[in-house]
Amino acid sequence: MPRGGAAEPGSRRLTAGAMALLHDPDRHTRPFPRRHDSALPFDPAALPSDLPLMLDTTVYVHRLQNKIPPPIHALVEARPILHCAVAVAEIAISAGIMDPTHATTARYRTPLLGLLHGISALDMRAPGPAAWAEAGMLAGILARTQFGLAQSRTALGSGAVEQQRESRRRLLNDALIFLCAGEHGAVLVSGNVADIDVLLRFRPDSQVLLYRV
Amino acid sequence: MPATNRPGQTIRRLASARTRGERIERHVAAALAELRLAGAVTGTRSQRISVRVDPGVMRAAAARLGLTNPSDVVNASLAVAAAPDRFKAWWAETHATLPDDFEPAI
Repeated sequence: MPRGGAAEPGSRRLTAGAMALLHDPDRHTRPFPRRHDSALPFDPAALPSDLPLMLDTTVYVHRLQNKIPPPIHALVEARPILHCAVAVAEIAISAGIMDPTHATTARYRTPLLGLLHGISALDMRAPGPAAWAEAGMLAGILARTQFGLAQSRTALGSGAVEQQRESRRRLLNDALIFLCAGEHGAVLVSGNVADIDVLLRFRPDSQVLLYRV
Repeated sequence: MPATNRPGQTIRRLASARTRGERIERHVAAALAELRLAGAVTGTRSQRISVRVDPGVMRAAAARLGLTNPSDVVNASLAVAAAPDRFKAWWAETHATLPDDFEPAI
């Protein structure tokens, strides 16, 4: 890897390295302070009027729990909606993982399948290769600087190692959904305020609408 | 044009908008499939209508749909407008609920 995170001198070829190194890991050693809500995009009225919405996984789950704030509910009714394949995968794995013989499975799985049947494949969008490379770098930086997820195996028990890996995957998915929305010219709607706050530090030009339940 | 011209018979895609055109074509096809399921498609273009439209909107619709024939543009636009949006219907109407303790698997 080129030192200091710079692209290879003189090279104008687009490489995975160039895609990932949009964010130099050497420049990030300390966590970002959490911002007050007044500094974050919580106002639906401030959104550009002509952009579709892409929904974070939190939105689908909160809708199924009847926790969506009325202004967000109305906005989703009014705007074209794109669905990120990563969020759809998170819903699908949640449906697939449940034990068919367990007494409560139907209660949890049926609403998830109803949601998946409501999503047209034509409205689904997947992150492109550049977003994957960038999301990986972002997730790595945030895991280390923001969330304390860069502990060595020896410092952790086996259960904690797995938990750390799972938390990193969650961060990767958050970054993928965040970047996918930008790639497809959509406003990301999310109730995941803490993670989107720090992702916006890296891509402050991204169109995002946050809410709290 | 025959009174029973079948939908999509004269649809031509603009070569310059191939990838996007394919997506739109699938969108229109999906809309027609939804309307067929709902029993709304008769399979003929038997109703003649005479309407005035904003030429700018007509041009924009033709460009978006990748179509040149005005009849195709109107038919495709009507199909997309009339097709039920499953997600919006789900969003507005679902009564299914997840318990508060639900967490996505990842």
